[in-house]
Amino acid sequence: MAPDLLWTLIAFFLTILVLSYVLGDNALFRMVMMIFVGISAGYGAVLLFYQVIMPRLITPLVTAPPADRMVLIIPAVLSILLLFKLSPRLSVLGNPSMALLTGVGAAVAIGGAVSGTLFGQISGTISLFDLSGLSSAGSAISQLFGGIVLLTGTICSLAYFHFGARKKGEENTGAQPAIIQLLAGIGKVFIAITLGALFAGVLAASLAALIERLDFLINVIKPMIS
Amino acid sequence: MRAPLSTAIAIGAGVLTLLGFFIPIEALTSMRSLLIEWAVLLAGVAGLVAIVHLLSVHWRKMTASHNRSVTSAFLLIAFGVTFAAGMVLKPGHPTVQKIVTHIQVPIEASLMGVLAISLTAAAIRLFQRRGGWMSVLFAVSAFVFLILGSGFLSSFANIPVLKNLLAAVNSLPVAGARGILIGVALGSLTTGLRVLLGTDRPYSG
Amino acid sequence: MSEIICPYCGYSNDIDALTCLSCKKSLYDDVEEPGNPPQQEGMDWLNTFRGFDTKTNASTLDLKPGDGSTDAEPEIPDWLARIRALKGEEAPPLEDESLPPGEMPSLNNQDADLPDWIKEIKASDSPQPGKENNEDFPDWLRNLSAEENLAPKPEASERSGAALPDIPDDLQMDEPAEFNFDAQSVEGNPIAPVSPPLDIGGLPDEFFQELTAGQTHAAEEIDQPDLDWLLERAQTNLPQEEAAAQPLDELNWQDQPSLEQPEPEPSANESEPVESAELPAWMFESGEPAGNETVESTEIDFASLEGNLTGTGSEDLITTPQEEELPDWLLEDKAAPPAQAPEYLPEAPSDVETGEMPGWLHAVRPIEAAAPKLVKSEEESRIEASGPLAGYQGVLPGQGVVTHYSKPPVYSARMQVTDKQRIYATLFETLIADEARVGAPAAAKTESSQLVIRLAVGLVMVVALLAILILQPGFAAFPTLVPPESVAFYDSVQTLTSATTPPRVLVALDYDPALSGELRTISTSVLEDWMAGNSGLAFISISPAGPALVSELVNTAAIQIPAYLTAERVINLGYLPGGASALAALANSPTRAAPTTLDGLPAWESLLLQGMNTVADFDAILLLTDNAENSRTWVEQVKPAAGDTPLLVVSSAQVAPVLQPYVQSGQISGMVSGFTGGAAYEQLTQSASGPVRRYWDAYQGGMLLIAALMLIGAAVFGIKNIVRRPK
Repeated sequence: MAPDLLWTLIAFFLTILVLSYVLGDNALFRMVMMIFVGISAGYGAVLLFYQVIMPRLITPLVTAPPADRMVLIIPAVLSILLLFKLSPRLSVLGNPSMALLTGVGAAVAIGGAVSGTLFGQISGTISLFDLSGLSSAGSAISQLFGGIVLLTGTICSLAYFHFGARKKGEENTGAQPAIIQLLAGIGKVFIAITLGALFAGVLAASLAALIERLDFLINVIKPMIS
Repeated sequence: MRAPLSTAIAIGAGVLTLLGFFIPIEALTSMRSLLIEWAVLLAGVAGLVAIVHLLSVHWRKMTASHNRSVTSAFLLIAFGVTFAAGMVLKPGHPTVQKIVTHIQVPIEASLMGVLAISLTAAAIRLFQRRGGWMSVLFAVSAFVFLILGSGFLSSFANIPVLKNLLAAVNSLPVAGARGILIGVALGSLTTGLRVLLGTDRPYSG
Repeated sequence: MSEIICPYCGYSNDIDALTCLSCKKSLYDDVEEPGNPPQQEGMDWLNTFRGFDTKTNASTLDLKPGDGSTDAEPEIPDWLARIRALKGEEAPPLEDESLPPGEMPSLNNQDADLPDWIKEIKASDSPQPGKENNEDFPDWLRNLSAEENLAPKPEASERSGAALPDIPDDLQMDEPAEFNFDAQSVEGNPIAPVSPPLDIGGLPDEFFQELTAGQTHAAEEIDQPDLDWLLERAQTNLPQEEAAAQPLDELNWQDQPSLEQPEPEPSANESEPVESAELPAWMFESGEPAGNETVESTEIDFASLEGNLTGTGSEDLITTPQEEELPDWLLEDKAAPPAQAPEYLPEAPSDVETGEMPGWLHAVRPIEAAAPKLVKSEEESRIEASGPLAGYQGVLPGQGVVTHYSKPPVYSARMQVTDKQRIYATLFETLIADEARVGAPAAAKTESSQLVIRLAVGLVMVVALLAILILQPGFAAFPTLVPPESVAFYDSVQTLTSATTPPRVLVALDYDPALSGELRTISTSVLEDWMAGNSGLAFISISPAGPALVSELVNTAAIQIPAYLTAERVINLGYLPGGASALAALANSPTRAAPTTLDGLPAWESLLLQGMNTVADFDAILLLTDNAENSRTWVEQVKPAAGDTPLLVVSSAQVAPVLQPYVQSGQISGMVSGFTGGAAYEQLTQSASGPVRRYWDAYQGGMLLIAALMLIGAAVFGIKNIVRRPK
């Protein structure tokens, strides 16, 4: 049997077993899931070793100049400390490593959020009201109208996620200010539309995956039949 | 203060990284690059630690005296075979890649296909429970975008109003998505600042 | 505490005792000998009254003529004797000038040393000769004076310290009619001084028994009138002017300097008579003081007072200059506390009649002395036999606790429920029971209906899709209305691939194997166009399965372009862990972020990537993604570093709405999303046999089928809800 056929048959049977979940949960399905997790973990471990540990830590420690090696001692020590996270008693030793990961990740996220999303999206919203490049009045009006709708939808969607409560005197009334409630109500509409679009997109993607799998099955079975 | 060393490391590394991002000074950008490289390395080691922990859990389940799990053996065997083949043959070998393309891909893709059926069934039962106007609006929006996404209406280009109508309808989710994106960005900003200020310490555990 | 040793029997007596408790003899008979006066600092003036001053001694305490003093040693108070001694010391004896009773002695040169205010008092209060200056005195005091002048001294032996002889009538006539001794005993200090009261007579014996209970005064002393009570009464009753009228000013004002003498010698000083001219005669008619004992019997026992007081120095308490100026009656008041001492004197010997203890004394005595013996329990009377506490009584038994261990009390576990609580619990139980009855059947019904619907939908969908895929009806027309982002994508690709230099594209494969079918289908058309332009493709992935999917994708796309040399034009940079940090590292320096290929070879030394150091060096960045979060991170981290390099996105249909804002803002140059976008791209490229076209019928049919099923379900369940509502 050709290796490719073997692999194809394996894929075929795995596809059938997984699609059997439509009928309900069964032992074969659970077995397939465990195999899937094991293979993913194994391939991931191999990739981490060959793609991260070896080229970034072990090889430079062995071949790099002494100055670079001295610098690499810090991440080497941190990496060893991170291994202690496997032990419940000694897991606190891995906190410095996690702290560095968290601190750098937080800083990266802050930089990306500010320069990538906030500035970009705000400038994008403003650009909708730039009617200088438009030729006709109709297109200008439509663009302006679109800009107003977009701006309104953006502001109202942001207002919907405002969960602050109003304080009246010494008591927390638990109610949002009236203007926020109005904006949040309008924002609900836009968010509902967006979520509907997202749901339709997920349906479309999953349908595409189902179509591809069914097509795979057909392609496997067709040669057998013919 | 709990875990002062870790807190100092987190705040110090974060502040240096942030300064290197906004201030174009050579020393700061070099420090930023160095810290990010260390973070990538540590992320890889953290992935390895997670995989080892997964294996230890399933080993314990398999060797437990009570409620022994047989399916955990499949996981351990699959891991062993894949890891051994990958370590010997290296990840770029076609055989190792076939493990992914002919086992992992079919399983995951099939799961996604099952999801399509489940989501369709859920969409049918959308009005089984009495909901408010939000659920109605959601259902209507999903229906409309299903139609639009199918490309059925895109085939009728000769209808003059249809193009503008489709453009207008397609732009409606953009407003909500932009609001969501800005909200997520603000949340990331806030969370990152809380970590840099030491208010949140998810690493001390 | 100071003690006095009896010179006769050697018994130890209290310092302020006058007679020996054992032999009943006076402790101060021997006036010739200086004795051992209690020496306190600064109490020299007091010692003069006690007869220890050098200037005063017993011999000076001669009775006034007419006193009736006899050899029987009539008892006079010690203080009186001392006063007399002092008077005699400082003034010439007034024997030749016997003052009638009651007459106050005139002030002679004795007053020269007195302060002016005292002189004034004396001048104003000096009595007229032959006139009794009793006008300011209370009647009882006047009477007392008369009685003292006339009444003979009773025999000491007649008195037992309890009863006083009657006062003769002749004495009583001139004396104040009544001497309210009871009043004195009540109003005065209840703790009477040691000295017996005056021989007034007519007073109940019980009173004297009260006052003198426990006292062991000699009969002689008892017979001697004691004027302590008088001084006490004077303190409480006499108004100030009367006090001033008292012969206090005649008293030892002049003697005050002598009071400060450091070495009081009793005998010599006591011999000097008290300046009787300043005192009423009746005060001196009680007879010669019986030595020092009478003087001392009224002496202020500052020793005991000193001992009784805590934390105070005797000198601070007693010897102050101001006290020297104080009248005697006030000084006598200070003597009152020491009078407590006699209360604690041991019991009198058998030959002395035991006095009855007053009620107040009963109350203050120790309980152990009065209370009946408590019946001790066995434990209390048990003597410990072993251990460190052997021999002690009343020790808590250790073994007893252990051996006598009793069962712990059993507490009821029954909950105390009121009627109201019982009613509420019953009501709650009923509600829960109703819920349970209704819930169970509904849950089973829901689960089965869900399974039925899922099976039906699955069957319908699978059958329909299989039919369309097999039959390929071709009913689905390709879209003619193409989204603008797809147009922009196509334009970018066409622009780059039509350039003279083959473009080098960084392809980010950021999707999971789950949606590899959709993305592979869509990306194949795109990659075919890139490959047709002989573009160099550098693949990188931030998902673990990404590197393995690259080969499948490239192999699928390369089938259509046989001339494309994948070995030379495609490089796999492998896997980049860390999420946002990895992309930040890639944007910062891709050569350091991904130094090697998937095979471990140096990536940036290859022909394809030679000379490239940053992401901006690439001609385009092509992002293949199915994850909204990762695609957002790519836009945030990599696009700013890419500069003018266009970011082109091939996305799954599920992330298209999230990426639309980036498209609208220009951060994403072009996007092909889902099968619709792929179909639009193929429409633009006019590819007749593209992979999307193969699946387009099934895809559009499936989407319309799902929409129809949704509509049917909404109608069915909506009507059901409407019908169910009136119920």
